[in-house]
Amino acid sequence: MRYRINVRVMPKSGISDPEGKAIYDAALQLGYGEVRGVHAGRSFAVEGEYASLDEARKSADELAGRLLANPVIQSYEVESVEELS
Amino acid sequence: MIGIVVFPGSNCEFDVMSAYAELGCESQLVSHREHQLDDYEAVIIPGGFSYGDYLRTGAIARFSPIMETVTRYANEGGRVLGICNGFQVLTEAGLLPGALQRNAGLQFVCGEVLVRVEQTTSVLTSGMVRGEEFSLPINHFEGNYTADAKTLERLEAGGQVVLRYLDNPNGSANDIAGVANPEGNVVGLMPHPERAGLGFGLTAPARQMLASMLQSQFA
Repeated sequence: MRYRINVRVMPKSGISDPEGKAIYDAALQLGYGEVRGVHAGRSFAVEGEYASLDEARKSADELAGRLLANPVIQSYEVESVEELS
Repeated sequence: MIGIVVFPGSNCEFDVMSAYAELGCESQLVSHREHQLDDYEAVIIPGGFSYGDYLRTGAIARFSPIMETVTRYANEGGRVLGICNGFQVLTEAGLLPGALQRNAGLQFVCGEVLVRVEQTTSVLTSGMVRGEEFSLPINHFEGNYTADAKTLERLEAGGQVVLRYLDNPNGSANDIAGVANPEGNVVGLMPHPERAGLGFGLTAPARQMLASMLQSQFA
């Protein structure tokens, strides 16, 4: 079965986030004074053939921890797994 | 003889080669596809943009076949130096602590910076004098050394911070310009000693650093 796994990678809390900070500064400059913080991350859509939804989730979790995220500075979350066919 | 690891997108391998030629030391380029390293005095991972810096700097290079061998070489006490992108590869590979992320203020930095030798217990700095200050070229966008507070404390206490910026150019934690592993045989730094005075003759401190890699007992 083919699945699409959506993974979100974000800066770990307590780790500096220069990109988020630059976007935050820009938001304030645009007049969005109510904004209190911005964190910039990335999202990945991994497509693959897996025996089951559980398998897909397990494999994505491992891939995210080894490759998609650097656990020293980032956290990751498998947000959703969709069955494609 | 030293080995210089080359990934697709590396671009400082010939600078390293000429610098070592000035020291009378020959170099051999080692492809990322190799599984073997010859009996080198040291292995150097040069600067550049391995794999286009896709995903994160060094994140894809770290899984290339040669890195398994470099890891074994390092674990057996071999001298390993990562310069700029090479430093990023070594942190991604877990051979050095911490990570390098985008510079504070998202500022690409290119120029000369002053650094100070903090520790002489590493392969890169064993020939230097503690407290020695000199200038080195930098050229990077992702040189902002980052680690959690506990790791930083451990690095400082364990004497693993070998090189510090006098005037922090990129937001690095504790002004860190270079770190070593606990044993001192693996070192990474963002500045480019191989380009300090390149073409006109290496500057004396840069020459001493690169020569340390060949003679240091921290291996």
